[in-house]
Amino acid sequence: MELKIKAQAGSFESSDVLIMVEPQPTGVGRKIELESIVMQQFGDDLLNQIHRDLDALGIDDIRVIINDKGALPPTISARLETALKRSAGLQAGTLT
Amino acid sequence: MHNIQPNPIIQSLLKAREERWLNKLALAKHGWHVVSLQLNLPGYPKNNETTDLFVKLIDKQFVRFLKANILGKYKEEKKSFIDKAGDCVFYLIPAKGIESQELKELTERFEERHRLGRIIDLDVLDTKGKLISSGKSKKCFICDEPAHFCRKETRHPLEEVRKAMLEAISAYLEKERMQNCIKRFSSWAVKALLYEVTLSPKPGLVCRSSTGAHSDMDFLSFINSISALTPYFQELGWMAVDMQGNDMSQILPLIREVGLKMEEAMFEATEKVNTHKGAIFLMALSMFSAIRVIYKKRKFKAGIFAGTVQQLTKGMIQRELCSVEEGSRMTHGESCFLQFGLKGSGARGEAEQGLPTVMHHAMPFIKEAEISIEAINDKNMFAILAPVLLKIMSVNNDTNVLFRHGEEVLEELKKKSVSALLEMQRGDQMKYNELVEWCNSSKISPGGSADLLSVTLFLNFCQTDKGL
Repeated sequence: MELKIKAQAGSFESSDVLIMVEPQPTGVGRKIELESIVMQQFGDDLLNQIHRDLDALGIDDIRVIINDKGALPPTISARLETALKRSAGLQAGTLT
Repeated sequence: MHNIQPNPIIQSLLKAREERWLNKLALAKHGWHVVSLQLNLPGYPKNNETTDLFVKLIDKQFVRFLKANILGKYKEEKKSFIDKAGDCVFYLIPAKGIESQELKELTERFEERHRLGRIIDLDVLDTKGKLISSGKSKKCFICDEPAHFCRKETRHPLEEVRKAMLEAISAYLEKERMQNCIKRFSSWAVKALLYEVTLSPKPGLVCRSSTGAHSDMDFLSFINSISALTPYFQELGWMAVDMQGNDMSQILPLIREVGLKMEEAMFEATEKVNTHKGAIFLMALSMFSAIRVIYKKRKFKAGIFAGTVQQLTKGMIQRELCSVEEGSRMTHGESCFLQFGLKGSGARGEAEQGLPTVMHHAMPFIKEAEISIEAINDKNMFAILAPVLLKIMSVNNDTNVLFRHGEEVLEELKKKSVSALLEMQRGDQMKYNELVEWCNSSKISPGGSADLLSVTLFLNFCQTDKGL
């Protein structure tokens, strides 16, 4: 999947997550900024999950900003996928 | 793509949440702080009839809360909707009026002091689209740990949490419903008593314009007494809700205890004059029964109401009147029964037979005459209620009259009531005026009939109830 533009998905509603993605030049790697209301307990799990999902999609160069309001893993994956599709122009959605 | 997209239900939920979020952002840009009300209900669907009612109720409470706390700054701008993410209300608060932080403190106070605050989620978004957070976390509905830990770790099965929440919401709604019912019905009990005494002129009875056959009480004695009785109707209502089981025969002593308190309050308010003893007996039973009906059947039904009064007082005459021995310490009611038998069973007899005078005479009379009790105003009150009183007087074996004046006078009073009613229905009030004059000068006061008029009025008010 080729990322083209900045895009986001999700919300600040409770049990949801707002994820923003931004394409990066090749070789820059993944920059992941994570904020979560359950940072201390679940921050690492969350980060691992994001990496796994990006691995699966073969995305290596990206900036991801995550603001988590206690979302469960399936929600996080779904939000990430939507943000990426929007960035790639594969799905209509919101841009910042 | 690989399959990280969740099932369609969750997808539609996520879509709805995102739309909500974007709508909020758009509103915030127009100079509003946006407060959103929603429920923290896990599982699907996110809303049902119960949650819809609950959110409507919380909405009302929260609007009241906002108005009380930021008087004038909240103009009742709001948007209510239901989507896949459940019930939701957005409140739009002009940013000029209040700081978002202050608003957040208010919403937290509302959540904290609300019995179901853990289910209620109030978010504040400021005009820059920033979600205002206090850093505090809500406690789990099941245990006292922070809710989002329990959710992340699935400490409690989702279905368990959902069930517990829905049950708590139902119980809350039911309590609220009964609270409102009891308030409405007790106001009607009071209204019935007030209307009765206000009706003027009446034969021998205290009314607005006259003390009738009485010299020890007047209109204000009645107002004082009714005011003193007012709080007890709510007590009777709660008794009907809290009653365990269905055995009506055991509950009478409890109602009596409240009745005795009411008598004490009456005597204190009237300086020891008996204005309402019979009315207290009948209206206490009526209030209890009306609430019992609405509690059990969810809707008021006159027939079941009368049946309840009957069940409550079953065996009362046998127990309380038949066993009385002649002596000096008898009440009027007891003495009357001893002298006149069932004809002298008074309010007890009326109750034990399921209010026949009200149910079989007054109510059908009102129905046939197409009288609209709700339409009573100061001008038409006499025209509407005087015939009802006459109807009651024409059939009621009023022990107030029987006890003081004997059987002959009672029969004459009934006869005079019949003819006064007939004349009145032809548009002539002469006979009625003569009856008033006769009762006043002969000191005949049909207080028992007045009490039954109050019960009839109460019953009519109850029938208008929409059971909300």
